[in-house]
Parts: sequence; C-alpha cells; structure tokens
Amino acid sequence: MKWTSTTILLLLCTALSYAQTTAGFENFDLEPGEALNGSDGSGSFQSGNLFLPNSYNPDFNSWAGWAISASTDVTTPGFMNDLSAITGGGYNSTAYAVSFASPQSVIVLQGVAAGGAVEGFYVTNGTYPYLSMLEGDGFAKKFGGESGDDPDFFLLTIKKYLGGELSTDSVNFYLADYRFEDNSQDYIVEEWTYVDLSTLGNADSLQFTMSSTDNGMFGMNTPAYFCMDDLTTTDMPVSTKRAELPAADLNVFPNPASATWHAQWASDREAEARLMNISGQVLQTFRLMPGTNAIDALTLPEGIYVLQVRTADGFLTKKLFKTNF
Amino acid sequence: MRQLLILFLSVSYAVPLLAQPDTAVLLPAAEITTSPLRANFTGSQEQRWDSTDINRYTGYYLTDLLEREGGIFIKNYGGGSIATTSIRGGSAGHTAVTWNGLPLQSPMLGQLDFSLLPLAFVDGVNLQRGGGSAAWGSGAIGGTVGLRNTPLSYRGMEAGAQTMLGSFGFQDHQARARYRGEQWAFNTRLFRRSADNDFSYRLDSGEERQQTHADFRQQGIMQEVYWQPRPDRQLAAFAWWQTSDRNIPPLTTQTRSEALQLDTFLRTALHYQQLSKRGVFNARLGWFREAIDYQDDAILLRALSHFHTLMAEVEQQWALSADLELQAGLFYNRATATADGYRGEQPEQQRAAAFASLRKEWNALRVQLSLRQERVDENWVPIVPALGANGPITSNLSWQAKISRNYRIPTLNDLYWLPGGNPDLLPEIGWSAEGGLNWQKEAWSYTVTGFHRRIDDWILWGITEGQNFWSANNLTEVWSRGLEQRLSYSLTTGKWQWEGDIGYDYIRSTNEIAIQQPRIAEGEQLAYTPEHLAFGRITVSKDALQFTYQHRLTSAVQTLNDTELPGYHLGFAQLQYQLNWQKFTLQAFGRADNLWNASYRIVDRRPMPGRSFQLGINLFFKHKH
Repeated sequence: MKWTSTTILLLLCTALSYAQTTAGFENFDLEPGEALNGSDGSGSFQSGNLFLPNSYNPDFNSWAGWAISASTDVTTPGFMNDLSAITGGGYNSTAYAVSFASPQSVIVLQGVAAGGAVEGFYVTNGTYPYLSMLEGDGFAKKFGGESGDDPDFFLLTIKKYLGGELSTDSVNFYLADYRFEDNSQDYIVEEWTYVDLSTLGNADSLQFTMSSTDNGMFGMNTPAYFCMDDLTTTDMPVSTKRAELPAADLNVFPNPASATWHAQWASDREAEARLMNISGQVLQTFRLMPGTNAIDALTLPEGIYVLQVRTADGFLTKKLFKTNF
Repeated sequence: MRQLLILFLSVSYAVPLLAQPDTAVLLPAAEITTSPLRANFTGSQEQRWDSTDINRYTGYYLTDLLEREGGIFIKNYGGGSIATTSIRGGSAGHTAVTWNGLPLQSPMLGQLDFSLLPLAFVDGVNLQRGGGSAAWGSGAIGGTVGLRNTPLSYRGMEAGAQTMLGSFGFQDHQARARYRGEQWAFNTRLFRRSADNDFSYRLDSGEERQQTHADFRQQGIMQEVYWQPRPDRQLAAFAWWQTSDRNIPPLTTQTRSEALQLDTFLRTALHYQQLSKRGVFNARLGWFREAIDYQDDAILLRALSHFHTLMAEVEQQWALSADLELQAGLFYNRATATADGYRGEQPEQQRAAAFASLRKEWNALRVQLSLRQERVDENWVPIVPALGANGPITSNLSWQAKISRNYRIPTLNDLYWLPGGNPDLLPEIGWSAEGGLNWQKEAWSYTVTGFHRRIDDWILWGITEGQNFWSANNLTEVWSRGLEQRLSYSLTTGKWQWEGDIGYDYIRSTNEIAIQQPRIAEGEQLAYTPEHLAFGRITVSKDALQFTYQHRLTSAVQTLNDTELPGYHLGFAQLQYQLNWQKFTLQAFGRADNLWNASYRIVDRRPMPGRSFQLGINLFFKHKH
C-alpha cells in the first residue's frame, strides 16, 4: 500500500515537473489600441504552442475564429467595437486574444504541447457583449430582462479533441449569471478570471462554444465573443510525446486549391493523416502514402483547413486553403 | 357603341360619368387610373374606399384604414415607427402597393413602410386580397393595395385646412387646395405631423415606464396637375415629396437608444389616358428617388442607402364585343441602388414584362383569364396565369372563384448585399386558389371566402451547409390557407342611420420545410402571423353627428425570440360633428385610440401606447362653377 502511494506520488511529481508554456499573445508586439483581425490574410495566429485559426473575409471586412488585440476601448457598445476586452488590456499585460465563437472556435495545440494537458487560461468578456448584456442593444436583451428578474446567463463551454474525438466532458464558465434569487448577486464578468482546464486531460485541440438565455429563430442574440489571455500548456517530454517533424517532409500543392490538393509525403513510411476544418472538426482520416497523395477539395466550402500528419516519430500540421476560383 | 362603352365600364367606378358620353362630360380620368380588367379581377374579393370613407380617417395613415376597415394585420413597431402588412399570411414583401398604377415597393427591400403613407395624400384606396401577379407582377401574392389621386369631380374649387392635437405631444396639420377648370385641374396637398410619443406603458411585473427617444416629425407635399385638352384625353403629372425624421426608441430590454432614421423620397409620375369608343389607353411614366439614412451614434454606425427607379408602362383595353373584353400591356422598370452593403457597387435591376387579360361573359357567368411574363435582367420569371370566374346562384346568392400563379422577385439586398447576398436566387413562386360566396338581402350582406396558397422557393436569410455567415437562400415553402367572413347591416330609422359590420379571418400560414438556421420547424406558423383576426364596427349618425366604435381582436403570435406574444383586443371610438354654412364645412372630431387602455405589443420588446385622445378641426370651402 505504501509502495503504491509512493509510486503515485512519484508519478505525480513527474507529471508536475513537466515544463509549461504560457501563451500571452505579447509576441505580436501590439501597442495599446492596436489589433489584428486577420485582414493581412495571415489565416491564423501563433503564440506559445498555440495555433489560433482566423478566417477573414476581405469582401465583407469581417473575421471569425480568433483575433489578437491590445484594444483599450471599454466604453463603445456595438459590433464595431468587437476587438476590445472589457478590462481594457490583457491579464497584467497589453495584448490578449479575442474569439468570435459562432458557432464555435478552436485552438490547436502544437509543438511540444500537442497531445498534452492544458492547465488553464484567463478569460473575460469583450466590451461588445459586456455592454450588450448590461444595457441591451437593438438585437440582444439586457440581462435580467424587462423586470431585472429573468434568470439569464452567458456560458462558455470548453471541450477537447483528442485523437480526432470530441470529449463528452467539458468545462463550463459563466461569463454572466443572473440566475440568483437575490438580483444583487447577479454578475457579468469584468475582470480576468482563471479557468482551470486540468480536468479535461490531454488534448490535441480545444473547442469553445457559447450559449445564452437570449435566443431566437436566428440563433443566440447575445454577441458570441469572449477574450482570453495566458493559456498555459504542458510541454510533453519527447519520450512520451511525438516530436514535430520537419516541415519539409510534407509539401502540398496547389495551395490554395479549388479541386484537389496534392500532398507530397517525403518519407518512406506511411502516416496517419487527418483533415480538419477551422472548427477542429475532423472531416477525413486517411493514410498518407510515401509519394504524392490526392486530397479532394472540390466538395469543401471555401476556407481554411488543417492537415495533421502523425507517424510514430512525431507529427506535422499544415494549413490548406480552399478557394472557388 | 354607347352600349359597348357602358358594358366595358360596367365593372369600373366611372359608370355614372361615362354613361353620357355625348354631353360635355368630364373625363373621370384618374378615377380609372388603370383599366378595369386589371384593377378589378373577376373572382376575387375587393374592398374600396373613396374620399368620403377616407375623410372619416382624416389625419390617419393608410395602416389605420387597412387595419380597421380591411381587417388586415399591420406589424407596427410602435407609434410613428415602421409598419408593414401581412395579408392572408404573406410576408411584408407579399403586398403589392400601387400609386396611380405604379408599384411603390422599394427595390432594395421589396416592401413599403406603411407608416409613411398619410391618407390625406390619396383620394381613393382599394384592397384586393389574394394573388394578383398576373396583373401587377412581383409582390402581389397576399394582396394588392391601390392608391389613387383624382381631380375634383366638378368644375370649381375646394380648399381646406385641418389641425389635430393629441396625447403624447401629437400634432397633425394639413392643408389642401383643389381646383378644376375648363381644361386644367390642380391639387396641392401639404401635411406636417409630429409627436413626442413619450407614452407610459406597463410591464408584466406591473411596473410603469415611460417611452423615450421615440419622437418623430414627418412632412410632405404633393402636387398634381391634370390637363384635359379634349374631353376624351388627359395628361396628369404627379410629384410627391416627403421626409420623415424619427428617433428609434429602445427596446424594453434596452437601457437607452441613440438610433434614428431619416427617410426622404421624391416620387414623380406622368400619366396619359385616352378614351375611345372601343376602349381606354393608359401610358405611365414614373421616376422615384428614395433615401434612408440610419444612424446610431452609440455604436458608431451610419448606414446610408438610396435608390432610384424608372418605370414605364402602356396598356390598352378593348371592348371587342358586348361580352368580350381584352386588355394588354407592357411594363419596364430600371432600378439602381447605393448602400454600404453593396461595397461600392451600384447594382442595377432591369425588368420588362408583358401582360394580357381577356374577359368573357355568358349570360350571367363571367370568366377572366390573365397572363403575365416578366424578365428580370437575364432571367425569365415563369409565366403566371390567373383564371377567375363569378356568377349568380340565386337572386340573393352569387359565387366567385379564382386560381392564380404569383411571384415575388428577389430584392436588391437579397441579391447583392455583402455579406450574404445571393445573385443566384430564384423568385418566390406558387399557386393559389380561392373561392367564395356572396349573399345579399335587403340591408344585410355576407361574404365568405376560403383560400389556399403554396409559395415555393421562399427566400430567407440563413446559414446553409458549409457556410459560416448568413446569406439569402430559397430555403422554404410556405402553405397558407384560411377563411374570411364579413357580415354587414345598415338601417335607417327616421333621422337615425345605423351601419354595422363584423369580420373574422382565420389564417394558417405554415412553414413546410424544417430548417436548422434559422430554426423553424415543419408545420410551424410563421412568426408575426396571427391565426385569428376579428373586428366589429358600428356607426350611428343623426343629423350632423356621427359616432363610430370599432373593436379589434388579434390572436397571439410567435416572435423571432423564442417567445409568444399574447393576443389583445383594442377599442376605438370617434365622435364627429359637421356644420355646413354656405360654402363652408366645419368638421370637429374627438377620438380615443386604445379606448380600454390595453397593454399590448405587436412586435416583441416594442411597447405600444395605451389609451390616447385626439381632437381635431377640419375646415373647408367648396365652390362649384
């Protein structure tokens, strides 16, 4: 018995002793007031060991997925101010990430963090949803409703993908909660608040969805934004974890493609490949053979996709672009 | 020949005047702004209001007339705010509105804001329920509302002014002058209306609140010139300018609002009409420019949009024989629009259509067949026919029936708005059938009409497979059916005159295809489409006094917010006194809207005013040569 406890303790110590990496989004060197919404066509952001997909539509001047911001505007309501956190800055820092999670958003763990545990992150409301819930707008209701008594809430739900499967377990965090009998206890989160994700266990990617009590025929009326800072991942030791393979092993052309991507796999061994959409949903799983492999793009909607390749030695991710032209 | 003329006009409103073509008759002109075969389709239900009826609603808007006397559901966002119609379970874009024969719906939105139509600017209104696309083209699915302007019916002049004051800072001032001489006739109308709209309303919790930021101002002028170089022909020119400046009040779930909307339009039209022994010829030309400026300083939003549209139409109606009439015409429309949503593009839509109609009578049986073919830009809209018939059963009872195909073309916003506009949209199209009985005996009359309509390729904004933004698509099919009943009675006893009518409409209008986004279940009643509408009205007159009471019931509706709005009933009373002195007439009236102070909403989160009062004076002068 004693031996077992010691072993468990030792194992725990080993686990705890893994190094951690915190993505604080400061690597974009944003000055206060600046923000990146993907309008440069980058298609994604990377910070720490995180890959944050962004989908920007230049025709509509709109973005989805993730943006990186150092915006300080905590007073302007409305969708024109969708890149600001209600805190006016990051968690003890300048920059932070903003997510538009409609219908969901995803963060892919890469490098030494891939397949490892996620410790947690800091979260707060965006200025747009915060003021919308506090005062109401032309689309969404003021929380509490007309009387102030409506048991409203705004909920962020986090799940993980591991091995292509979405977990049934989730971590729920209330960005606003008006369900208290005593209305004075009702709150809308306005500080950076820590969310512990350790219960999710090891993950390849995280999926974020939002829900609220203000819904209609056209979906959720509450603006589906939240802000994130300091997401801490675990650096998996190479022995227990697949290492990142050299990028040169995989060459995809044409990219963007409209009908077919040709994936050239410069290895003599087969690999397991998965094509995911920007939401982290696995669309196809297939064997990647040495040489050239055709991946069908014709039936896919326009946008950004992630091709993940795994071998016994490690893994590799590649962004694929589908265009209709 | 004279017989022929009378026959072909037997269904028109101009009979009394044209019945004596040999005398120096005044052309009824705008009285028949469109050929009767088009305006009055055999087999359909039509309601008409002339200037006397409209006068009872002086200072009101077209919505009030349609709602109170037509029994039409008006989706009103609150005093002075946007108002749209739903006829026979159709959408706002399924009501065609014509002004002296030209369509008024915005090419950008496919609908019309009825809160911008003061009754003082029209001399006649008709409401045709059911599909009318074979005659009027796009949008005439649920029904068609026709607005008419007419010159004075006699040589002389009429001038008048009116002032109305009411609750919540309401003010309405109108002036009009009408003149008709040997060859020329002129009408000038002006109006100005404003309200603070700071009414109190009650929440479910019992809390009283006061509406804020809901004030509005509207003003407009209409000028009409009629020239009749010969008794059988007339050229008319119309110009209608109007502005509206309204603050948009906060929702009940919103602390405050800074939004406002400015609407400005100029509508001009030329209308040439010529009567011949065998028929009537109409040519119309219209040019409209309309702008909407929506601003919300709180969210740093300013959305400016405007369109201009050019319309040309010619039509001829012939009386081929005593029992056979033919009508044919061509329509052309070019619309261009500018809006932020078009991202610098200025979309243009060109429409051309040909239409024809044939009416034949066999004894008392009358049958009419119409066809319309329209081309929109490079696409043909499927040909739409309409076949209607009516006839007597007994001396008191008659029947009517109609089957028609109807459509609505996609709006410029549906086609070109970014994101989400879809240039590949098809028109909404479908068949409808209706049938009814009319019974009349002495002072009683009763009508009952049943209808059935299916519209395919119904356009909705939704998220489709593989998309991550909202876009316009031909998503669903809507099945509308119902029953409409009207009963009226009138009685004169000595100096007392009684008029009463009641109406009840049952309307099921259901979505027939389940959709994920927007979330709509199969068989679900459309949002903001009440199943039951009922009204009752009584008017009592004695000498110079007239009293009217109306009561309306509207059943519960589903909103867009996963909630149901309860049904409500509203009372309206009016007392009017009229004094005639030489050539002057003075009308004084008092009104109470929402007499029983019902707390109700037509649109979710938009409160409606409680009981309100209005007092008005209308003074006019008539001089006949």
